[in-house]
Amino acid sequence: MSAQRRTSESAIAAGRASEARAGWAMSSPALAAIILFFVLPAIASLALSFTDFDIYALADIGNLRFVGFENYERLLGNPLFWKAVTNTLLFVGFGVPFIVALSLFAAMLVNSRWLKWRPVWRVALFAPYVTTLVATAVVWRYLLHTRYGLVNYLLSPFGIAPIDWLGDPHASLPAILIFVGWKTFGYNMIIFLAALQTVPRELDEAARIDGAGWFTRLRHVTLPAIAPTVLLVSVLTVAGMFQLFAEPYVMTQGGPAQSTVTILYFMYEEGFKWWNLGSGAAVAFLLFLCILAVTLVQLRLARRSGAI
Amino acid sequence: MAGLSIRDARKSFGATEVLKGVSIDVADGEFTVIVGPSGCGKSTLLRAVAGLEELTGGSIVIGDRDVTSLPPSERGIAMVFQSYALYPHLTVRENMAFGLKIAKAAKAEIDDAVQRAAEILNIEALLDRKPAALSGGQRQRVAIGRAIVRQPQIFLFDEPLSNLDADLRVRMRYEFASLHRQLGTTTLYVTHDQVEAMTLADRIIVLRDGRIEQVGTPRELYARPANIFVAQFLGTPRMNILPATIAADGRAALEDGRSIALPPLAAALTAGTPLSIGIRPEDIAIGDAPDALPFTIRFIERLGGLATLHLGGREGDEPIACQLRDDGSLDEGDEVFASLPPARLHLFGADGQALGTVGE
Repeated sequence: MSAQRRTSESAIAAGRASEARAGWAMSSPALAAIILFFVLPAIASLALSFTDFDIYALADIGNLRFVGFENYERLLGNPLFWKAVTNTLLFVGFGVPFIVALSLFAAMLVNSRWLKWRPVWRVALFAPYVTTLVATAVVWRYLLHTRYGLVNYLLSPFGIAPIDWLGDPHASLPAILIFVGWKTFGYNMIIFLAALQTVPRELDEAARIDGAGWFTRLRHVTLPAIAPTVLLVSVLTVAGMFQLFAEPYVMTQGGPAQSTVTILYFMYEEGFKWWNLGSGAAVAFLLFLCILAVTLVQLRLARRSGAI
Repeated sequence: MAGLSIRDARKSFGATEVLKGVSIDVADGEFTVIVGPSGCGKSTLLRAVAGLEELTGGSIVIGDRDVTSLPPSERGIAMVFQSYALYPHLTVRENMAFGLKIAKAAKAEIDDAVQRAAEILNIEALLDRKPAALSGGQRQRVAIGRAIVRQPQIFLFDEPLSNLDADLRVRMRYEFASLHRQLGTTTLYVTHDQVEAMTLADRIIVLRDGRIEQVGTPRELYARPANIFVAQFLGTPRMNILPATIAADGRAALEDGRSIALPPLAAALTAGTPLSIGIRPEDIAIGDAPDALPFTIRFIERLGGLATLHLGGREGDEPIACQLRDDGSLDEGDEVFASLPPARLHLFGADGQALGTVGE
């Protein structure tokens, strides 16, 4: 009896082992790609951040020296780095709620049954995401032009004097933020739309019968139902805002007065303008730690509020 | 509590007219069931009463208030959905309290109402659970509890038993009936299941293609269906319909060349008039009788106590269903004599409308 049981147990174990082998075999191409294009470069970049890899080392690898934490120490003493961190945190702090709310609102709009021509609206609102950044940046530079721009023209009836959107250090960050929001909300909108379409219509109707108004239904029915998606979108948006680069690069080149220099923009200048690749790698690694920390906080908050 | 009166309700979705002028009166405290096949407009009608669909035409009066253009929450209704529609992130207690909370009722009042409803439905032990931790039957009870807490003038039920298994459905039917007896609230109940309609209703409304086919008590509808549709919709197995013509001797000539005697009511019909003869499966008598016709048993469905015989005359003819107590003496392929008692026949004209029914 016990021998029989042992045999059957070993058969089960063998089955499990072969199942595991098949699992590894099937996931190995994807794992190989992830290791090759993500894990290895990340490790290499971390290693690079402990060296003084620069244009001389590019010419002759013999010039490469191990410098320990020197790159990090120098960075933490660099006021421009702290300026970049502050700007990035402003972009994250204002940009994430702004973009998440904008995308959710747009998704609810194109999901509502009373809206006519819904497919047209969806395409129109998604279009900014798939149009070329540089081309739209040119258009937005015109829209934000101090004298001839549409934005100032629309604000003028409210008695608001023309704003030098891209030339005034106080206006440049909001200007970039509006541009980034316009450019990216379409993607989040699609994710929200997919989630909204899974919310049973009866829930909303039950709440209407219970006397809940639009906002109460949003707060007590819709948002709890799509909470995991809200978390996903905010994590993605936080990561995206921390890595903000292209928009300030094409609109303001970090100016005016470094008011739109972001961490990634700073990294780009360190690495590819001044060729301090070791120092650039250190910036990248610090940025990685920042994003990881914020994402962990978000996950914890979400877990505490029961969203996941 | 209050009665409900719907006048000439019309509803179109684009070019499709779903409700084509429906008028209904539900008396105070009455349990009315709207029954009909899928797509007949019954759910749309219920949703219009709830205020979830706007009517294209017509009016809805609850008590003495015209509620046609009022929002759902001001109509004095409570609705139980097929999918229960419980808020998944709230506990049972919070689900039931939701409406009163929004209405900014006092906490003591809310607690009291929830407690009372929970006692009625026997779900006090579930109050702190979330819907995900409940069985289908328990969810159904909570959904009803949420409706009771609102103390509505009218309960609306939209196919509330469709998601339950057969066993639970029978039990919940019984509970619905006793709950209605206990609360006495006017109820409008939509289902496609004729058994639910027959067992629960004070009055049944049969709907087809957005029009009312017949209104009456279950007994009336079963005994005196107004047309072939109602006759076949209520009752399982459904009523047999035999096409026939009035013969010169006043009997009905069936398509297979045989003839049967008709009730006196058919005396007014002239020879050659086409008609459809309906007979319920349980009204067919098996055994030798003066007017019995020979049939072959093509197929038997044995249900334990009862058996349904599918009787065929000629090869290729639509078999006639006949239900009787199963004593095991009959088998497929057997020849039997079956008589169609004239007193149990339902006669329908060429347009499908009843000419009159003798049997009661």
